[in-house]
Amino acid sequence: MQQIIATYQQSFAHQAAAVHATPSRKAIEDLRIAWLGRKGKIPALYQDLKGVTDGREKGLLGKAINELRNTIEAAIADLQAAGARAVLAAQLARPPLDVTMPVSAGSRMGSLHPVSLMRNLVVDELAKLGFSVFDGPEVETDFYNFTALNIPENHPARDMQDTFFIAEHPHYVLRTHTSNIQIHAMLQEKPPLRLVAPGRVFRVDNDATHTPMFHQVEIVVVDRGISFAHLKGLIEYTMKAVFDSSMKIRLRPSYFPFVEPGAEVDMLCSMCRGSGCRVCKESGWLEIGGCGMIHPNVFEAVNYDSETYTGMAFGFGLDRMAMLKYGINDLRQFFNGDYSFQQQFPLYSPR
Amino acid sequence: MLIARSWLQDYIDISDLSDKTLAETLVDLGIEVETISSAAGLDHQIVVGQIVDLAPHPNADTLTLCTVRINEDAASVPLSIVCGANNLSKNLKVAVAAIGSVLPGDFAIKAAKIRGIASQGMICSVRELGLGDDHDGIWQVDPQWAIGAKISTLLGYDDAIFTVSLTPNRGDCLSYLGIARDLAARLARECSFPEIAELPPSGLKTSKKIGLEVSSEAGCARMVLLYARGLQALPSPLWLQKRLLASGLRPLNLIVDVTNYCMLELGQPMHAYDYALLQGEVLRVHNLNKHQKITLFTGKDVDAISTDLVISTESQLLGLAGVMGGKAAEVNAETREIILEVAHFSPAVIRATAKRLGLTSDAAMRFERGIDQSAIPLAAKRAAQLLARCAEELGLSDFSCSEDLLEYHPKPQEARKIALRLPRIRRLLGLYELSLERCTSALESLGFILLDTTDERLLFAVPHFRNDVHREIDLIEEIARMIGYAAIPTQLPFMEMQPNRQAPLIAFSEKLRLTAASLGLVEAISFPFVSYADLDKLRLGEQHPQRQGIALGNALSDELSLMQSSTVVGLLKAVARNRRYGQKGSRLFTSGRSYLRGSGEQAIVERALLGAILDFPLLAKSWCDEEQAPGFYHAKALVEALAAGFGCRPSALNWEAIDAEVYPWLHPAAAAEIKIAGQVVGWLGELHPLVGIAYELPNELPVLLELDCQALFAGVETSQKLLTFSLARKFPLVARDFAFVADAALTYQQLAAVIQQYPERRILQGVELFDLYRGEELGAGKKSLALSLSFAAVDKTLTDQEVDREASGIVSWVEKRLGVALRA
Repeated sequence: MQQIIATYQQSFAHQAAAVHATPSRKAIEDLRIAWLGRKGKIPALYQDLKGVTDGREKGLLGKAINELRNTIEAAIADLQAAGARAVLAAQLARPPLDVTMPVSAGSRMGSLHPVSLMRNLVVDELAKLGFSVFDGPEVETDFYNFTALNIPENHPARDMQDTFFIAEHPHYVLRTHTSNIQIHAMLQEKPPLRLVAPGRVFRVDNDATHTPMFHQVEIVVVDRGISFAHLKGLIEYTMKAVFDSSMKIRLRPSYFPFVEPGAEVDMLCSMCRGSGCRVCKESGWLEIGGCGMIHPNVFEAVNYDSETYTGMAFGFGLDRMAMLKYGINDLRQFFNGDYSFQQQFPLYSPR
Repeated sequence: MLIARSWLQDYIDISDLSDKTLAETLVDLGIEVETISSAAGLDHQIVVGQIVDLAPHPNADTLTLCTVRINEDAASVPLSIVCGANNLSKNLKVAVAAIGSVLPGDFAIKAAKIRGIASQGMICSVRELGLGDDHDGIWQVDPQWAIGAKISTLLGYDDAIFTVSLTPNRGDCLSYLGIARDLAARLARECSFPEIAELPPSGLKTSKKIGLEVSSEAGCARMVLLYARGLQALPSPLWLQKRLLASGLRPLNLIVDVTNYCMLELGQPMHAYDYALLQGEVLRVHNLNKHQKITLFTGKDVDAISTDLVISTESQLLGLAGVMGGKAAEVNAETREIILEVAHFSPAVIRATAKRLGLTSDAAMRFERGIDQSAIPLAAKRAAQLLARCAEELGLSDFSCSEDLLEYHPKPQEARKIALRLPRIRRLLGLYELSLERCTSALESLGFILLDTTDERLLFAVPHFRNDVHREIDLIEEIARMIGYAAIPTQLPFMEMQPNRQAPLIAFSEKLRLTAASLGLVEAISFPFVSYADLDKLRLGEQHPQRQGIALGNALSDELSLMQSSTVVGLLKAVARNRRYGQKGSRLFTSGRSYLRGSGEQAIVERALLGAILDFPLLAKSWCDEEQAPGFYHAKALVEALAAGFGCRPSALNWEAIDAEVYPWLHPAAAAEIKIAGQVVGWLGELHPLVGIAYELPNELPVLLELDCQALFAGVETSQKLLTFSLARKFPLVARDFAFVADAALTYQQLAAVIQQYPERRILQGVELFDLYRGEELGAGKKSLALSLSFAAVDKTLTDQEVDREASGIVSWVEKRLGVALRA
């Protein structure tokens, strides 16, 4: 038995060396099973040891078998560790990727239209002040589009906007402004009211700088004690939110039948900030919209008490504002669905 | 309107103001200044020429070949100029821009051949010279002007011309005097009215020459007539011509020019009739009993109807009151005696006529906005004074004018009185310190008269010329205008907090757009206009609901004549355009509305839509991908993802094959209607090949989808109510794969439903289809569906036996229920 143990020592060393030369998880496991497995050589030795009767000899042989087993266990553990290292090394040993390779368009982000970006920018900023978004019909009756807005029939103010009429429905028009929305909102809600009304509007116009459909947003506040100073304050807030805190506005007296006093709104030219450039025709200012205090005739048309309540309204073109903000000088590009043009825009308006 | 600075100076001293300051002051008053130009910029090479011969153009009926002399020297060679105007005649003196000269707008005159004939310059209209808006033929210059003289020198222009744009409420500013009046108030200066003398005694009485009968008090509130004789239709004195030209009107003759001058000066339109041509004793202002044709002075025939106000004699129609004069008694070369008509006509009546007939005139524009009734006799006297002055300057020695006015004025105009409350002004403007005195002085400077003051309440009389001032707010605006908007502070209002009152659908639609974009779709916006041809291209039958569209009464073109009934046309056109520009694989979405005829009170129904289109290829070939065509299932995945974002699980969506009659633009075999809880929320499908051809998308057809925002929102809300969430699994999931061979007609939904209904189900967690196969070895009309069933228990790790028992139970259940077989 002594001899068998000695032979085993040699043959294990031989086999282990062979596995060590070309390590694989399977070879190591096979070696372990052959020696230490339930039917392996070492358990067999322990089985044989049971047959030795001489106590002293049994003690010596047992010690020798234990030593052999320890050696084998240690060697296999070493082999396992070395094998794991080799596998890891093989996994890591690959040429580095070209991380600059272009990737599939399959998971590319989409985009929002610049007019939507501008709409969201304005609406989100006003939502911070507690404004609610309202909308209304685009095919509208002349009551909502004109009469209730203090533009009676046969008044020259009806010519201020070239209106699309609906065939067979003489009292319907395509809304020429988003101001119809304030009438719907006021008929539906009691004051105080803070609303922002973005939407599509239509005018009979089609040239390089006008499209028959475009977008407006109107900002309306009705409460006790709303003043012209508040009108100026909200316009300035809005324009600073759209551009930045250095933006300035100014108002010029003008006439929109549904407001009085009424004004045209100018803002500092977004390109030159007042120093004069081609965009603002050297004036330093850009005309962006109209505003004023809601006319008492409008309040009376919606049964608001014009003595108790006063209100302000401010409207401007979203398309033009988007052009200024994002530096696009051709309005017509907005409406032809050009994929490569539209694709450039993000989901959230850049500052 | 054009305002010449030199003329304005007659009424207010502005000599110390620069052009820029003057413009800024006007703008501050609400009088928009569009441009400031100088007629001094007129090229010195533009000279007076005389047409010495005329011949028709050999190759064009509308063109004339003019021989024009621009040099007094008879030996010089005249120019040969091709001209398209219709008011050319021999010996006429005209403004000629010879080769080498430059017209306003940097328009350089070059040698050119027009329809094969060389033209050595251009005969100009008033507008081409930048002197006014008149483009009705060429400008016939004063025959006294010397051939070859420089037009710029003759006009003596060192003047600034302000192009002002007036809002429709400010009819009172449609004159030099009106502008001067507003400026004077703002600048606290004197506004000097021209000195108008009473009519000198002449022994002539207007009332002896003609009668006046107004039968429409509502249409005409006041009219005066004035008789004058000893006139001739000569060119006006140069100073008058220059003023008209500077203000954009073409000088015609003394009589017409004086009426125009008065209109520009005072804002009062007037009309002169040739007295000799009046057939009758009485000038009548009335409505017609029946339709009647009237020939306007322009030669155009129009149909006057009973609501139009007309001027006539017993036997002639003379014109459309306040809109346009007729041919009948028009001032002409033979005119020696005139009747001058100065009147106030109802704005609404004038507007209705002008609008119906599409006629615009300087007179109608002023009447529509309202003129100053009280100044009518004064305006007539001013005209008489100017006629007398011109007659004298032109040597018309037998000129004389009646010493009276024949007047119709049933009801003297009463001044409106308006009360004004100081606290109201302060609160409305946000100027809490504003003084009573400041308000009073502002209004008084504008001609308002303070009648009474009680505490903080002021009573004002409105001046006659301010037709736009009716109530307190109008006075407050005047005060704000005088103080200047810049002097009002800038503040945010204090307001109480409130719940948001926004309709939930608005926020939903917005989120839907954002979700669509985050799924890789690019937003496009198109005009919601389509044509009847588009309806045909979409193969919509006569009875199709989407044919019941809304047509525009005044469309820009046939192509843009109907309101869209879906987003399809806009999307198809966008993709076709992208393909034309070499852009493949566009993936667009759009949010728009459909506009359809409704019923009852709701004549027109609008619905918010989200449409999308996936063009070929869905995925372009690249180093890591194969090219992939878009198909029905890609669009379906998009819809599922859109709904999933709102907590609407794929199992809540139902997909039903379409009725090809309802969706004729879709491929009948590759399209579906989408339902949630039994309600249609949209559709999707591959494009019908015929529609593809019609929209120039003949091959590699795109896939489209459209969702009705409101229906989807309702569906999402319903399915959200059923939404529950379970805890994470505590024990592992085990899978078993099976393939069933079934009839091709068996839908996946049928198969999945049967599995879900397995009565002894205990541990089945999920069913996943991982392969679909059709092959000859399966037999004709058969397909193989390979499913992976997954199992797990909530309380332990499953044994193989437990899994196999339920899996085989399911297989036999499916085999029995659907008559399918496990694939060998």
